[in-house]
Amino acid sequence: MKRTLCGLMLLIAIGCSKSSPTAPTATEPPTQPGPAVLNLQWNVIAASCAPVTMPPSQPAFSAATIVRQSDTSVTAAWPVQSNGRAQTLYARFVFENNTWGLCSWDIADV
Amino acid sequence: MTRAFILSIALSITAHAAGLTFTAPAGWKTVPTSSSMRVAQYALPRAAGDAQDAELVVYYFGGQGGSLDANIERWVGQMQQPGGRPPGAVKRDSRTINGLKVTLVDLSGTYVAEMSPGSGQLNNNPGFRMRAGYIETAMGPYFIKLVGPSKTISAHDKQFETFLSSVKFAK
Repeated sequence: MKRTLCGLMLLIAIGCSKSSPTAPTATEPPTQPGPAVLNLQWNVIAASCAPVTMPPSQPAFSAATIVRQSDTSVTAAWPVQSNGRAQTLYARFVFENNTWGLCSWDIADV
Repeated sequence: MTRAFILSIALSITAHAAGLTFTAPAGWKTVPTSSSMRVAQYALPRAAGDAQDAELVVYYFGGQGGSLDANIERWVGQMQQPGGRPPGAVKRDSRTINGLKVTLVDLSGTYVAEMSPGSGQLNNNPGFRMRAGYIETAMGPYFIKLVGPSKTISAHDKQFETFLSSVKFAK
């Protein structure tokens, strides 16, 4: 009786492991990590975010601290000065239509 | 029980953003945000005799935003003291709220931060008070900044505490 039960449990376990793969299944939404190379531009506005105004300054991207976000967007940050005050400009870019576009920005000192 | 549940929905607004959730107390008005880095923004009705409402903004800069010390230094710089004298030692209120480390400061003075991002125009509001918070999460810091006339802020002190206690983070 015990042996039969153990055999039955083993069969169920094998069946379960076959129907529950650890790898992502086709039903999961595809992820779009965006291109590995970031080609950020100030003069491109992401269509889904429009209208977006330009920040008061558009610093060079080479001077930015860039962080990729879990939603595939990127956030770039620059130290800036206004009226002698140290501030930080943050800009968010999203990848749409094969290009990176500005989605929003803010300045930490308000 | 059901009536109480419906009432609580009617009286409060729960905001969700990038893992952080919180509930705005009844009476706080939701204000449209000007950027996606402002997770939520509320107007807190002014107290009798005050000229303007207070404003509370929850910020998230994609995991950036600087250190706790840098932010406290920035907040202190936004509250000028009478005669331009340097601010005294800033008292930090460190708490754990729903598993999150939260550090708060409470500052008074003349509010001189920029009026709007990048405008170059500064506020000049004497008799203001700021309650600002730095919330540490697995996705980086979130920031809470409540600013307004002292009397108005005091009138909302209890609601601000209720708001803080509602802050939660889910990965």
